[in-house]
Amino acid sequence: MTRKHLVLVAGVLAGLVACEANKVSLKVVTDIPAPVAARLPLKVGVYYDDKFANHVYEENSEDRPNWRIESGASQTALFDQILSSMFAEIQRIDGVPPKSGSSGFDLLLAPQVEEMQFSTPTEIKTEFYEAWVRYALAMYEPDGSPLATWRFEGYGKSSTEFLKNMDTGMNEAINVALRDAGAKFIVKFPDLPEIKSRVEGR
Amino acid sequence: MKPGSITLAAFLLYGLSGCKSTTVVDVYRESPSAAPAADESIVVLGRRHAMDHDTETDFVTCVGQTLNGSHGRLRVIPEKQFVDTMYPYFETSTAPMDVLNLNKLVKIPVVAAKFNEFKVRYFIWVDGATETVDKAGSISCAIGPGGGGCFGFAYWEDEANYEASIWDFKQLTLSGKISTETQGTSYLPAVVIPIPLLARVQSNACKSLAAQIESFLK
Repeated sequence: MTRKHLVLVAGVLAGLVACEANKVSLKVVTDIPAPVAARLPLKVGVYYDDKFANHVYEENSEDRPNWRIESGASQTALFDQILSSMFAEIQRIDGVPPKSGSSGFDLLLAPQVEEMQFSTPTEIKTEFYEAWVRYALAMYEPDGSPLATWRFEGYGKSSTEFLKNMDTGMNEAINVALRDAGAKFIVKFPDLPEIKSRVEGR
Repeated sequence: MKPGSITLAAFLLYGLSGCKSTTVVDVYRESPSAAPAADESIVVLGRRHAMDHDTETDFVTCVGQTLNGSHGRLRVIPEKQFVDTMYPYFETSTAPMDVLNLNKLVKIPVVAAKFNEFKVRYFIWVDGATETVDKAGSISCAIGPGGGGCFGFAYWEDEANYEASIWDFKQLTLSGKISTETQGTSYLPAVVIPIPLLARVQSNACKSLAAQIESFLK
């Protein structure tokens, strides 16, 4: 092998190592505590469509090669956790309006992940991995007619201390973002006019 | 002793004496504070809403543990336990920024019940960070058939700035504020083997802050 070939092989190897360093492939694992919340006297049906329940963020660019972040299971776990602590009764439904199963709901909900954004320490020259997620929560009358859509966000960051790898740093930041979104949901949702009027009307 | 060894020893001694840190503490008392009763507890929490820094979790833990070990006088609830139990009311985006906002939380019966379970008397909010403000020097390492080694000299200066706000939950008042500013320079001389001479800036800031909080709550 000539010297030229050696340099070329070394260059390709270095490129591959750099690519691998920027690759993200993770299944988000969340840890959301049981909330302290007063239950609203409502029977609520929640619909997670396939896009939400199997949510995947994918990006394949020069700076972010082969990014794949699966958060569907964590999203449904988050909403299951917070909704079950907020309402007198909560049930998963198979569509809006429900195609089968029980009736007598006061309200139907269908969350969607509208947008997700990330940044890494190398991209923004800080010591933090950052994650930002925006949800659109569609609210429906019991018969399925639209009531309103409420948007709320969650933000999380994770420091680079202890030489975390990209996957771990990202997972921590996403976990904090989901936890933050859940917190905002619990604190703000009962004050929405659509919800207040429903609770006061009972 | 050979002249080379004397030089090295003198160099190390100089380094050891130089890597001390200095702390300046400022205490401001807003209202009279009483020592917590035997069954009352305190909670030390970190502020993490600034974009450019986060109050380090290990620093908050250090202050809490130091206070907890202060002659068994203070009962400190670990930060994670408290924040998880009070979820969602003490998250970065939802935590009360002012002592008067605690009053709003108390009006939520489920939250008030949790406060009663913990028997919280004082909330201590710690805000700040430890940062490297200056660094210089370089160290080169090499390895060859006959062995390897490093040669050079590097140093860095760390600065720890923290402020603790003490809220009296019983009176719903700000009891006072304590700030610490600790500076220290660490050295890394390398003659074959690098020998770190570290100024324990964050650790010293933790001890100073905890000592002042303990004294404040007497």
